Amino acid sequence: MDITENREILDGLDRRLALGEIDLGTYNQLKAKFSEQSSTSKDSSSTIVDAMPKKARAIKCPGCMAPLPASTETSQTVVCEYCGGTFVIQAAIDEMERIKSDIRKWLANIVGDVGINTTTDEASRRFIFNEQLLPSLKMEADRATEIHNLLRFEPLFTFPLLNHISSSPFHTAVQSTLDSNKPVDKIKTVIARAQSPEVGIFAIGDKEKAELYKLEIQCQEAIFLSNIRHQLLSYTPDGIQKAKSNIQGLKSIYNRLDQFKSAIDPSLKNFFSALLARLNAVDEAITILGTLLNSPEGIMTEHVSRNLESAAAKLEQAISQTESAGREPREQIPAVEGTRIDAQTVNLLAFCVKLFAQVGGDSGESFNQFLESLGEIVDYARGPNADLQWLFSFISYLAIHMGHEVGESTAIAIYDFSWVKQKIQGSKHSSFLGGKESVAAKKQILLPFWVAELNFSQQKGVVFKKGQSASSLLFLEAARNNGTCFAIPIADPLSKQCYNATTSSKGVGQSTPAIVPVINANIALSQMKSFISRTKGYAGARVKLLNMIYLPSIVARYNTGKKDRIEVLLRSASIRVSSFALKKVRLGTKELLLMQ
Amino acid sequence: MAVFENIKKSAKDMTGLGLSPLEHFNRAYEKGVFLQPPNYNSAIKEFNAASQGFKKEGKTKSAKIALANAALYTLVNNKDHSAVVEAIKSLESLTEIHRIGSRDAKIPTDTLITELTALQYEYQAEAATETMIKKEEYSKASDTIMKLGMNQLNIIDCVNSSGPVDKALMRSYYYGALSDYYAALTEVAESPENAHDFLDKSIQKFIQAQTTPWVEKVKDIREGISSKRFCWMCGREMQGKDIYYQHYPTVTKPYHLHILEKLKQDEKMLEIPNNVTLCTVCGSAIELQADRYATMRVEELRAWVTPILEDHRVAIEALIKRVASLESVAHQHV
Repeated sequence: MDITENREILDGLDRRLALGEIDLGTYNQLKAKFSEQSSTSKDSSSTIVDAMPKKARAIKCPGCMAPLPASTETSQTVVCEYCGGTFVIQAAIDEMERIKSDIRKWLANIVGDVGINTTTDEASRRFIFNEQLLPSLKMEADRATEIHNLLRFEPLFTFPLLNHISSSPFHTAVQSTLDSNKPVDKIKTVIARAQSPEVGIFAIGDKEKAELYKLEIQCQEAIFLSNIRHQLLSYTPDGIQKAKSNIQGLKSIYNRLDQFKSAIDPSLKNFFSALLARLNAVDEAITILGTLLNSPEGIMTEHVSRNLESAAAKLEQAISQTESAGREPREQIPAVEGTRIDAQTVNLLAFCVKLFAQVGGDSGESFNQFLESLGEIVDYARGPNADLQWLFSFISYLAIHMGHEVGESTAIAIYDFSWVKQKIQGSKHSSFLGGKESVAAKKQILLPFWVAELNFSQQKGVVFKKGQSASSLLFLEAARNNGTCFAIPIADPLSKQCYNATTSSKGVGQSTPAIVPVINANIALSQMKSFISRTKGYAGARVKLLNMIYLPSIVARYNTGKKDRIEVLLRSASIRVSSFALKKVRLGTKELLLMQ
Repeated sequence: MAVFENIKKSAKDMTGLGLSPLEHFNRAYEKGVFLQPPNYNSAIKEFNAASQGFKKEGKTKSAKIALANAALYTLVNNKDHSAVVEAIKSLESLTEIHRIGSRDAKIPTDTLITELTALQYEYQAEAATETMIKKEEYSKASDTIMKLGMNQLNIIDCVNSSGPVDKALMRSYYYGALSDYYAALTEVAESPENAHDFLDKSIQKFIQAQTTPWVEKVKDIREGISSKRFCWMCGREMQGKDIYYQHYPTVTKPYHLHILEKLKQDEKMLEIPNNVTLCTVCGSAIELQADRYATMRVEELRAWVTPILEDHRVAIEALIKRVASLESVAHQHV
């Protein structure tokens, strides 16, 4: 009789005693008999371990505990396809041996020699597992993944343009897991213990096995997620491939949870199914990103953007799945939020691909070069708190702006330059020493402004004060982050022109160059409110944002023979834009004007 | 005759005497609402005078409108709960009212009443000291203002600067987030796990309300609440940094960490050098006991030193007398 049969008989005796099928005397007599047989045979848990599938004892990466490719040559150097670490197989074997020895010591500390070289009945093993091994492993897993747990559901997708904004949740997650050598060691220890056959023999029932597997997932997930983010951030073909391998690794550990479906909460199963849906969509997006970044030639922009939009739509579906999974808010909410940001980022990439098409994606320039140019523009345009939302709106403005130029989209604009001659003459300075200025050069430009209706009150009189309601149009410069606002009376001719302009929109930038706006509606409203609160005379004023409008302006260079002066002139004297330099930037086949 | 009329008009304008109800109503704007900065007390006085005048003339509706304006500007001026109640009451019999800060634009009162009701709950939440009540009041405020959907808010921005004040929906998220935040603070006494759930809900709503400082604040609290440590003394695992466990100063050496490693215990108990984690029960027991011993020792010392000090006081007084008498003798000889 081999040890397995013997153990089965002993376990059967436990069950029969528990069910009252045999009395205690018979139980003790039979147990003594079979235990004696058991102790004289070669049996030990190590035999059980030996009988386990080889897979369970496969060589793992000493860096991240992911499986290493099979090799018989111990002196061979292998590269881990998950974390990118390079190891000699022998070193990995040695590390596995060290971990195994550590596990034995750990087990001996906790349970003595039970289960190592003795036969222990099922009930005792279950008891030891639930009362000693599981709590100890849980504590270690919780501590080891403490930082990772806070970042568990953070975004998993990014692309190079996001490196140009001051903060993104993806980059915050990556930065938070940088100094993680010691925690990773701890995670490795827990994984090794949870996967070890020596511990496995204590996990008797499905429930225990599921509990053990959940700990394994908790720790492996932390490593895989960290690897995905770090590898993706390199944007190299190798990094992207490794990010994808980690996604596959993560998917496989999520899929294996199905083995325990009878022992786990259905909500957990639904939740992991939603996480799988998210991973699948992120995987698709990363594949497309890899193609985009590593294609030296042009790409089929329409096809690519459609696929990206499809991946974003799948992420939206994953959000719905997550919301309906029925998990606790502490899991559901961060998972929804992280997936939502992934969907936004994938959509942003799709938008960039469309923009690439707009600026001549088929002209031979690579998408990588295009992203670099776009990144430079973003660096130039961004404000101090530029985030993902801002980036999205800025790219939209760029697309719309370029659409104007080719007549594909329209904007609210005023093209009246009839005032120019008079204004230029009127703005000439003359002095006794310098003489009268002459106009050396002038350039017509369309400047973008956010315009709002401002309702406030005005006061007359000093002693006998009297107030009356008043209205103005409030303009905020949209082409630079200086928060400068100008209020012009409703009676100003420009006000009337603005109201008239809102009734019909026009193409912009075709005949007169137009500057790209960098301020979005939210920032505009907040800057206008800030202006009102700090400006005397606007207490209690209300502001209603109307639209973005392009106003005609003249950049004039005045000259006295000795010195030059540049002035920006607009029709209304109330709008006094400080002088600026224009920066011409090239994006694909298009040239853009940015304000300095 | 025209000169006399002008003088009369100017005098009325300057003194405010002899004005018709309509003139009082207009004067409320000109001498109050429209001044820079606005003089709401003057406006309220004029609106009340206009209301009484209209009432005498039998113009009930005009009287109610003037009274409602007085109540609304009292609220804008005082920013308190009783003013909200009065404002709601004064608006109930009207269908529309002047928008705050405007004599011409009017808004329907039903939406304004909804907004004011939410504001009333907000004030009740702010005044409450118990987190449970704060949670409930903010929840009511959120549900109430949600009814206005994406409508523009009309009065909250005049009386409150914290949180989003433009769109009703955003304000609803903000109130909802505050409700969940206080729910977490209530729940933490019973279950840090549940508190963690409420904090997550709160973060999500603060994100929707675009209130970044709150998002960061609640994330920090969540980080503390979610962390678990074992107590060095009693060995129990506690969840919630600075709530159920704290770091106490002590003396630690690498040896202590080795001991923890060897015993497979929570090494994070010694995560800060020369500090150890204790649960609040053990920590406060030590603190209270130390405090008790310190008080006892102080009392013992006081009992010991009081008679000694009394003896010294008597001796010093005797010496002062002797010195004084010696000085007086010395003066006589000089």
